Amino acid sequence: MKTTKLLPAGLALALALVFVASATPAEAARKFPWKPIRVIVALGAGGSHDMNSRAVASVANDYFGQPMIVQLMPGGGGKIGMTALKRAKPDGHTIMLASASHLTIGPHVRNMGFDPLKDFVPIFMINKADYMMVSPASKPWKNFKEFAAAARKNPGKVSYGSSGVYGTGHLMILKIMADTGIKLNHVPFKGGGPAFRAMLGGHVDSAGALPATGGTLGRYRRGQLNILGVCSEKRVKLFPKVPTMKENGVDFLLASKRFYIGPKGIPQDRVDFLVEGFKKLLKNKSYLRLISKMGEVPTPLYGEALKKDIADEYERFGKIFASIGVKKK
Amino acid sequence: MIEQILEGISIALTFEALGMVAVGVFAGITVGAIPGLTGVMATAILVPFSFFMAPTLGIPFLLGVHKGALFGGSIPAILVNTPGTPPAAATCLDGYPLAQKGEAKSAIQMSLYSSTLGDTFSDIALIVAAIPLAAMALKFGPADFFGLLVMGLTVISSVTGASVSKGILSALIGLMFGLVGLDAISGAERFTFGLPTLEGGIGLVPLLIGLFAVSEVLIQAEKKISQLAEKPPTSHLRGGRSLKLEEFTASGRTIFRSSIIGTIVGAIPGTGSSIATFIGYGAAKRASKKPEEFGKGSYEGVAAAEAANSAVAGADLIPTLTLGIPGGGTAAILMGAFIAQGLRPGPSLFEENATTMYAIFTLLLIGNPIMLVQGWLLTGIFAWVVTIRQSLLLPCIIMFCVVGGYIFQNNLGDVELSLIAGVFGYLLRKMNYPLAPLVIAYIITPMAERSFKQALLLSQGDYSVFFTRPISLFFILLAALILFMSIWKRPWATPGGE
Repeated sequence: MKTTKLLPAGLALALALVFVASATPAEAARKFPWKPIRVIVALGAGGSHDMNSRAVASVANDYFGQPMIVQLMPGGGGKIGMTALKRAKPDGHTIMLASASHLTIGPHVRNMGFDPLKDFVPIFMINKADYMMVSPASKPWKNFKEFAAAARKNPGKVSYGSSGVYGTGHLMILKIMADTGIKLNHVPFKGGGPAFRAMLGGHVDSAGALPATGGTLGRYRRGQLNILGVCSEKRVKLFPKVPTMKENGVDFLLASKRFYIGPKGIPQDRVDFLVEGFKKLLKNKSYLRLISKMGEVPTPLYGEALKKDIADEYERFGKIFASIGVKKK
Repeated sequence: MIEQILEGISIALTFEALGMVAVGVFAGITVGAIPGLTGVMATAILVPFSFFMAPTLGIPFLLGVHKGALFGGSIPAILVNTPGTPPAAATCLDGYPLAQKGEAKSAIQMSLYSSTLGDTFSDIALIVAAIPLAAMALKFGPADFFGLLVMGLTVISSVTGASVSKGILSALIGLMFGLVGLDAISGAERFTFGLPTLEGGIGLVPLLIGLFAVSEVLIQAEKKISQLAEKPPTSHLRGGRSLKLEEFTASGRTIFRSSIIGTIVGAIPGTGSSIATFIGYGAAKRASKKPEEFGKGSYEGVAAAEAANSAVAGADLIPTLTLGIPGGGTAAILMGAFIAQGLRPGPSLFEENATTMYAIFTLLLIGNPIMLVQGWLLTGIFAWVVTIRQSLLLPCIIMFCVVGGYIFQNNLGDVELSLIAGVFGYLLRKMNYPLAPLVIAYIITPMAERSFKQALLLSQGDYSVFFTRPISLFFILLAALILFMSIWKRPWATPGGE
């Protein structure tokens, strides 16, 4: 009977299509990269990592001969994206714009399912932005001193919105409370974007932010918010009147560093190829214009120096957690 | 601002972008025309593919699918009395009798014109409302979000499906699914059973692929192979006459009314096009000069149903893009696509991505004439699609489900998840539980939980915060009213739901 044969025929067709899709010609014969480079970002849309990865992707084709495709994999406190990277084929076509929250902070407080120093290879640090503390203009305080005084008067009532539990923003508030003795009300959000929005609307009294978050710089200039302090060694050129957190009495340096990592096992020549590409990309004028608008500073770092930077950071955060008594769960 | 609008339009008016919309609309009409394949399902399967396109290509492509499916569903409704998608159910009432009279072609044209007009109306409403509403979103604190989400949950569980209790039960199942993963505030793992796939919660795309697509294949698989291999009865498309101008103009008021109804229903979080269709159809019947013709082959009836269900398309995106609360099932998937492309719903969306958003809006509008032209020229092809043998179609759908589930996060666990969700969705559908409340509750729950806890953190544990803030109080009272009304009287009850 003709009709009864159609179902198996359809199934066979479907199977054949799957096989066609999965078959790839011999890889060795081709020059790296022979397909788009997938860049995993383990954070949500509109955040600073998302914007940075897209800034690089916008010019990547000229330097790598293939486009970069950003894939956002937020959630699970970074576990989802980090696991995807760890499991990815180490052929250089899958890399990640890493986040300190996941790589160097997360493993101190919970089981992330990877070893931050052994499971990945550092590739290239491209730029960084200094972390800062912001407050809506509608609040009575204009600087950190007045903010701290208000918090002292109402212990536990002045609120601070962070990007999530044990993210960089949370670490900052823990350190502020430890160093100044004030007690703040920590309200975690899902990502820096929503926390920033709640701060703008005046729903939380302060928040951690980066120059790129929600147009912080523009809003600061228009007087919609106050920057209470910046977590850098020296004052920042873009807003010279803002004191550092160190001047505010909080010994805390924190920058959001934008660096690419890959799964361990990527052949060295491919890592070198990517490093060379990034080095040249950092001279692209339209890229530099893009990141300076976001308040980012180019900080090329690669090879052993980058490896050491990651290891140092990991150790430093571990010490901070130990000093304020936070233990791994 | 003008500059950004112009730049957006120039991005939109490229061959590539227009082509993607056209492909999306074509795919949407085709999928809509195939009975059993719905717009939600098609977008769920296609979303992962859009990740690999630029935002100004991938999003318009999906919007095209959404649009096309809403019109496409009317083709089999008219030709073979089977709604291609649930919202087209009301179209059967008058479309099929018209086809029996030999007027299938003109009925499809009526459906095409009213779908296009309804959709255009709703797109304009979105464009006009989105920017001011997004700015207003800043006024929403955690407690207010919670109130709005509670209202959304109430609407969805009490309005879809034949029974309030089944709707609420379905929403409760969705609520349980939404609790899986990391706790929103403390970061502790919940209900993950140690499975890595569940650590980040149940994935939206695999869940939807399972619930809507895999379950449909299972339902079809109940039939005998000989039945699946049968050609559906051929239609009366050939030789039909075209729609007369006076027939169209006579329905002008109806189309306008249905467009408004569809737009309002679409803008309410949680409601979908099925509800809009029946409200629009009922209102048209009450207002018509010839109500006795309704159900017996009234062009006005086709227009009322189709304008209303297509008018949901744009308005669905109003709460989705301004507050980050999806207007319905398809909007939930589209929101995922927006987020994956770096376009975060909320006040910053139009500040930071103005150009991209204007490009997307332009393409959303242009999609309507594109649909009109395709409907005009290709009705014959779409009518032929109605008759494709299920035995060829179903294996291909399963293949797309597996591929789509996998490339979502390159995780085989998601494929397993979508297959399990498929079996689960099949059981729910067999027992007549509506799926829409489950999906909406699943999406809303983590947001609601987070806002609830944030509000309590800010109020120092004082529960009265939900009743002292005017916005929050307004939504909670509205939710109570809707629940009360739905138990008391349900004029909008629809069979099946979206």
